Amino acid sequence: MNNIKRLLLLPHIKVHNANALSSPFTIGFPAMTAWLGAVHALQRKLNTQGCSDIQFNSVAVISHQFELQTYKGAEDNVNSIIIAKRPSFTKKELTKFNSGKAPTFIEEARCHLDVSLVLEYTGIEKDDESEVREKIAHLLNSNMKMAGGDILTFKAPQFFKVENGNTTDLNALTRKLMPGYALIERRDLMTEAMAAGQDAMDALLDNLVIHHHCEKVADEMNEEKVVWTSKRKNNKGWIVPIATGFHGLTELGEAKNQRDPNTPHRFAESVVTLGEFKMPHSIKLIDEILWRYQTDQTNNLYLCAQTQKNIQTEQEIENAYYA
Amino acid sequence: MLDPTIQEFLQGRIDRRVEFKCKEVIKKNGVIDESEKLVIENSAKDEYNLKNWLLYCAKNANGVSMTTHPCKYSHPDAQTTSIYFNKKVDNKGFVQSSISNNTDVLFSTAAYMPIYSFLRLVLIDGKDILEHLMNDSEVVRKQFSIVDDYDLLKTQLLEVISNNTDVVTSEKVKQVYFPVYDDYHLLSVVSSSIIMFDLKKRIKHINSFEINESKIKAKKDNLFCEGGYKTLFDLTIQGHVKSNPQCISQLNKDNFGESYLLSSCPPCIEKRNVHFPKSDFFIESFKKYEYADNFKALHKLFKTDYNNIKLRDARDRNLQQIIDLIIEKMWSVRAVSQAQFHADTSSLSSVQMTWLHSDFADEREKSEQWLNLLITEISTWLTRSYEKVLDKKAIKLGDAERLHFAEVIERNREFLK
Repeated sequence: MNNIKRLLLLPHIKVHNANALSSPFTIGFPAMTAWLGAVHALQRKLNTQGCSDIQFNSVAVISHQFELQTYKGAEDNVNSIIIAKRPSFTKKELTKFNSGKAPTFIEEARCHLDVSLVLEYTGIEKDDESEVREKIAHLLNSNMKMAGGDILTFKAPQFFKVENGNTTDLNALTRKLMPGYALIERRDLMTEAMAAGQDAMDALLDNLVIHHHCEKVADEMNEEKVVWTSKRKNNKGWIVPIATGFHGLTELGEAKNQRDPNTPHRFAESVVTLGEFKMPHSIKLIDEILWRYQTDQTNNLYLCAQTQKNIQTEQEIENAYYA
Repeated sequence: MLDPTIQEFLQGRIDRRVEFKCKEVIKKNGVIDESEKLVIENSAKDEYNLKNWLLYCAKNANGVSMTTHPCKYSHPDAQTTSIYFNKKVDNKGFVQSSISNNTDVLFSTAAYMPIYSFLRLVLIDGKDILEHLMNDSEVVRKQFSIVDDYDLLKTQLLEVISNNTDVVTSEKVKQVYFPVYDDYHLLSVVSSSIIMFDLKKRIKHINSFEINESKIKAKKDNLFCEGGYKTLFDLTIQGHVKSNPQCISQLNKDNFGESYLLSSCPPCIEKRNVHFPKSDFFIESFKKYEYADNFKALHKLFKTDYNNIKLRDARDRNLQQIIDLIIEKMWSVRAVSQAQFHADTSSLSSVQMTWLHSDFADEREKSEQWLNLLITEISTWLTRSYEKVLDKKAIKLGDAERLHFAEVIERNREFLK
C-alpha cells in the first residue's frame, strides 16, 4: 500500500464576496461542497488543458481570515440580512426610488476570506510540477470563482510529499498553514447525542448553546458556596454547524428547465452537521483535515466527508439491487 | 345539517365582505343607507353560500399546494413542482428532513389563502375537511351534497396535495452538479421551511426570557438554582419579503417573514483586541482565566495515586491544550508586532523579541539557540503558573514533572518558530 500522500498547497487565496449562506439555517463559512466544487472545477479545467491525468482526490480547507457582511444596529441583539424581491430596478421602481422610496432588493449574505487549500493529487510527475504550477496560477488569475466569490490574490502553489507517520514531512506542511484554522468534521458529536436519544436538531443546538450551571461547593472553612459556571458542552474547541452535502428528496429523472438535459436530475436539500475549526499544528495525520466526495445511494446522500468509509454494508447493497 | 365550523367560517367571510364593502361606500359617499347595506349583505350571502364557495374553491385549488420544501425561499419568483417529502430516513448524524406532521403551503396568489384555511377546518368529529376528502368519507359527502358532481369536486379540491407527474425545476433555483463515480447528478437545491421554522421555535424557547427569568436572576445574585439554563448567541435574523410574507409561504407568514441563522464563522485573530507585550509575553498577553481550568485538571491528575495510560494521556492532553493556547496567542501577537512595537518603550527580552516580532522571521528559521532558551522559559512558566493557580493546594513539582513538561513543549518545537 502506498503510504505517501502527494499534496499541492494553494496558499492564502483571498476570496472577495463569497457566499456565506451555506444552508437555509447557517450563515458564515461557505459550505464544504463549495470548496470541493471549486477544486473539482480546477481539475476539469486542467484536464482540458493537456493535463488529462490530474485528479484531485481530497481537499483540506484552512481559514486564515474571515469577515462576514451582515448588519447589526446599535441596539440590536442579533445580526440581520434581508432577502427580498427583484435584484434590478424596473422603470416603475426607479420612479419610486426618485420619489424617496427605496425599491425592494435581494441582499445575499456575503463574506470575504483568506483561505489555503491543500489538495491530494495523482497524475502529476516531478518534471511537470513547474508547468502545472504555472497553469494553476493562470487559471486562478483568469475566470475561476470560489464559493461564488472572486479571487483577488494568492501565493505561489507548492508541492509536498507526506509519508504516513513521518512527523517531519507533516510539520513542513502544517507550518505553512499557520496561523489558520482547518475545518474538520465532528459528526461523531451528533451521532453520540442522537444515540443518547436526542433528535438531530437538539443534538446540534446542545453543542452550540452555552450551558449555565450552578452547584454548591464547600470552601476551606467548610461553608457552602454557590458557584455558577457558563460553558459549552465541549468546552475546548470551536464547534460550528456546517453544511456538508445534500439529501435527495425526489427520484432521479428528468425535469423541465434543468441546466443540462443529459444529466439525471432530482430535488435536494442541504444537510447540516457539526464541524470544528482547529489549528493545523495539532494534527497527527494529514487525513484528519482532508475531505472527499462520498455518495450514499441507499440513503440518497451526496456528501463531503472526511474518511472514505464504505457506508453501505453488504446486506444494504444486496437490498438495493433487489429493491 | 351543516357542520357548525363550516357555518361559522362562511359567516365570517360574509361579515368581512360586508364590512369591507360598507367601508368602501362610506369612504366614497360619506354615509350608507339601509337599502344599500341590504344589497351588499345579500350579494355577500350569495357569494359565500356553500355551493358557490365550494365551486370557487374547486376552480382555484390548483393555485394552492402543500409542500415541505417551498422553492420561493430560493427566489420569490421561482416556480417549480411542489415537493412533498415525508419519509422516514436512517439518520447518520445530519439535520435533514424526515417524517413530520408539519406542512407548509404555497399560494400562487395570496387571495387563495382562505381556500387552504377552509380545507383545514376541523369538523365536529375532530378530523379536518382535507382528511375527510382523502379518506372519501361519508361525512363530507353529506355536507357537500349541495354540489351536483361530488366526485369531480373532490378530485379538484385534492389538487392541493396531488403530485404532478411533470417535474419542473426553475432557472432561479440553484442547480448543482454533484460527482457520482464517473458521472454527475444534477441537484436542484431547495430549502426545508419546516426545519427552518422548527429551529426558530427551539431557539426562541432556549433564549426565552420569560421561561428563564428566575434562573437568570439567581445567577445574577449568585443564588442556588436547580437545573440551570441555556443561552444561544451570535444569531442572525433573515427576512424573507417581510412586507408580504404570504408571497413566500404559509409558514413564512405565520413567522412574520423572519427566520434565524446559526453562526458558522471560523475563529479569527482580532487585531484590535491584541496588545504587543512591552516587557513579558506571559504576563501581559496571557490571562490567568484562559488557562486556569487546564491547570486545575492537571492538579486532579497529579493527585491521583495510581498511574495508567489513560491518566498519562489526559495529562498530556491538558498540557498540549495549554501549549496550543500559547501558540494561538503567539500568532495573534505576531500579527500586531509591526504596528505596536516601539523600541524606545519596550523592555522585552531578546528571546521573546526574536520569538514574537515579525522582523525576526528569518532569524527564527536560521538559529536554534533562542528556541532552546524559550523552551526553558515556557517550562519554568508552566511550573510557576501551576503553583500560582492552585495556590496553597499545589503539589511541589519534582524534576520528573519538569522534564515531562519540557518533553511536551519539545514536541511542539517546530510550531514555536
